[in-house]
Amino acid sequence: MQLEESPALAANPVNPPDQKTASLEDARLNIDAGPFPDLYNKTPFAFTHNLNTLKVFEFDSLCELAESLRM
Amino acid sequence: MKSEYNIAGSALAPDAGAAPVSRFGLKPIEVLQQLDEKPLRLLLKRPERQDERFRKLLDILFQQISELRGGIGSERIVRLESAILISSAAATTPLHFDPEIGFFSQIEGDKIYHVYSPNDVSEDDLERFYVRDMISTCRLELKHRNPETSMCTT
Repeated sequence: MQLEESPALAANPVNPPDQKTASLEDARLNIDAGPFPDLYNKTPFAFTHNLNTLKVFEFDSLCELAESLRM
Repeated sequence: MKSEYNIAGSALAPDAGAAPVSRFGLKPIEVLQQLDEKPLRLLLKRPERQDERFRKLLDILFQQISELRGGIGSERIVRLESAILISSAAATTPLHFDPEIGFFSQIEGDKIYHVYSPNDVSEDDLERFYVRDMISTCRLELKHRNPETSMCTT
């Protein structure tokens, strides 16, 4: 079975355009609430999201984070 | 203190180990600058501990998951944490299992990955990880998995 065939994914729209201007409050995981209780912690399932639009994931933002981490 | 990042090279194949960190001797920022030149993988661990923006994002997403389940009730959250994996286009991650419930979100680029049934992780696999501490990254041998139960997506 392809993950694309998952009922959870079929019920959701495709990801929006990849422009990283959205704020954290706009972050959304598009998970179909219907099958979710039966799938959670039991079966892999697909979902869409808009995290690719968040400003926090801009390359410069990730560089800033990377420089703050210690080994 | 736990390491806050991990740097590795690409695995030669899904059932092979990744190139060791010492082979590269790079800092995270150097990995980001060299993604186009070398097959590297950079795992930024628990960014919410270092950057309030990622703490806020984790809390927002966890709230959404919690609401889908009607709240967490009396369940106890043992570990609530995130990670950001950044890899070059040529990098392959070895077959492994994650010990936690995980939500994988592709942010940029394309990735082909194979997901196996939880039943493909045997009790022996789990024992090696949890009891004998023989493996540190939850790696699994591909030859023992059933391809009929895997799902592939991009």
